[in-house]
Amino acid sequence: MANCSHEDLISNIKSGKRVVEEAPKHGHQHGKKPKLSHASKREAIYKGRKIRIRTTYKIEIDGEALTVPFTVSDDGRVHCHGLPNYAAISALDLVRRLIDTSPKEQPDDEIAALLAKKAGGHRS
Amino acid sequence: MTAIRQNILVGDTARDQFLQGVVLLDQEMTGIRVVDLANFAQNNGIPLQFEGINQEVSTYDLFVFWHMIAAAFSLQVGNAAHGGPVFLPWHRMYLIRLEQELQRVLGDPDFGIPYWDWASDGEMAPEQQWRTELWSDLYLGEARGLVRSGPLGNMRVRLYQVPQTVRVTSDQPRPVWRQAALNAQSLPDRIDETSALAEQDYDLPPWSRFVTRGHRNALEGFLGGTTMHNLVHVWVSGDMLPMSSPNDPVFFLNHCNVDRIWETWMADNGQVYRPAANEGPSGHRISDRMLDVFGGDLAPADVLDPQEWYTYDTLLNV
Ligand SMILES: [Cu+2]
Repeated sequence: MANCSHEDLISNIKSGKRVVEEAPKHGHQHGKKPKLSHASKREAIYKGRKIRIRTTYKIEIDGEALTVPFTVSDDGRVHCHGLPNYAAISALDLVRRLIDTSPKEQPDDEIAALLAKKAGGHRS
Repeated sequence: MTAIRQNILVGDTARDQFLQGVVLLDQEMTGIRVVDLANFAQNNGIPLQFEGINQEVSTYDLFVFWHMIAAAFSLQVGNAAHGGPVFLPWHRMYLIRLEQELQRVLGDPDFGIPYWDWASDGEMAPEQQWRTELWSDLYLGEARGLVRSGPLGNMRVRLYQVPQTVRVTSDQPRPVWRQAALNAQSLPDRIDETSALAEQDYDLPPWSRFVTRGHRNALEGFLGGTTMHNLVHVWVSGDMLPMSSPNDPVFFLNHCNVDRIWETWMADNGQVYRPAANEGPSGHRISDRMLDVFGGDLAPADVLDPQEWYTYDTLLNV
């Protein structure tokens, strides 16, 4: 610990140093388009019977596909990586939350105007 | 020398140093650009997509980046920093690293990150919780909207993850943004804290956010909806929501308190950690190396006793 310094931080990142031993479990999306749907699998044994549920969400907002995958847990809560700390009671609830929390969709908040101004600036 | 971590409402010096220190780290440019970050992620096999301008980033931004790559590093269970047993030790390491960077820019080797005892605010009426002194210019600045007052009015966000696309956006630097108490009614309270401390096991199979018992999952906040640590993120909202949440320095006050609750649990139950080296999912075991952009080789076992780095002014009364 003592021999890890600010200089290590800078040089590791600048040189693109490999700091992990193996690639992540689902780190295979290079060059590919992000998947539009993602299956979650729930399995249970109940009274000796094997239950398997695969759930896939295809979500659109104003006709535009949502690219962030939703997963559902055994208790029916729905989760996505975009709002990692939030366990939604349904997929609809989670989509509403994604809209509620998007900085660009806050008409009463200065942040929306700030980001809109920037977007305009980029285009011109 | 060991840092003493204090309650931010008690230690005025620690508070002022923390606020000053994060701004100093945010203003310390590194010569690293967004394209270097994308390159680093790619070399490590981490699927993070970037968009926006290729600007130079600060030391503080590198902590935001580190948190995002750890979160994007999917494991068989959870990721390299969340949704499993490693959640508590990884964030302990992360805070130690930030504390050391703060000590460096402040020129004070004894500086300790303060904590926010949120369960105390959680005891207040919901409409009072976001109107406390913590959200004033003496402390963290505005609870809602763009943070313009107090020392944190000088912080600038350069990289953030868009919840709807999970792409990392590099934008013109802008102030920190909050929506306190708009997406969650109340902070966790003492009862929530007590029940997390009453969990007998540190963690247990399936070692994920779906375990229905265990101190780690209770404290991370997946037990029974959105609770504890998770609820604090959702309560503050704005920049505290996506995986770029360290953009808001309140992230560190929250995690310092989470760490203090874990420390209280260990004072009661011993420095026990599971899974052991021969069980459970890879990346979460007691001797698995944790993802560290500083290039260190710490495993959960190495951080169970934090005394060589810091102690707390007080633990919780249980
Ligand atoms: Cu985190």
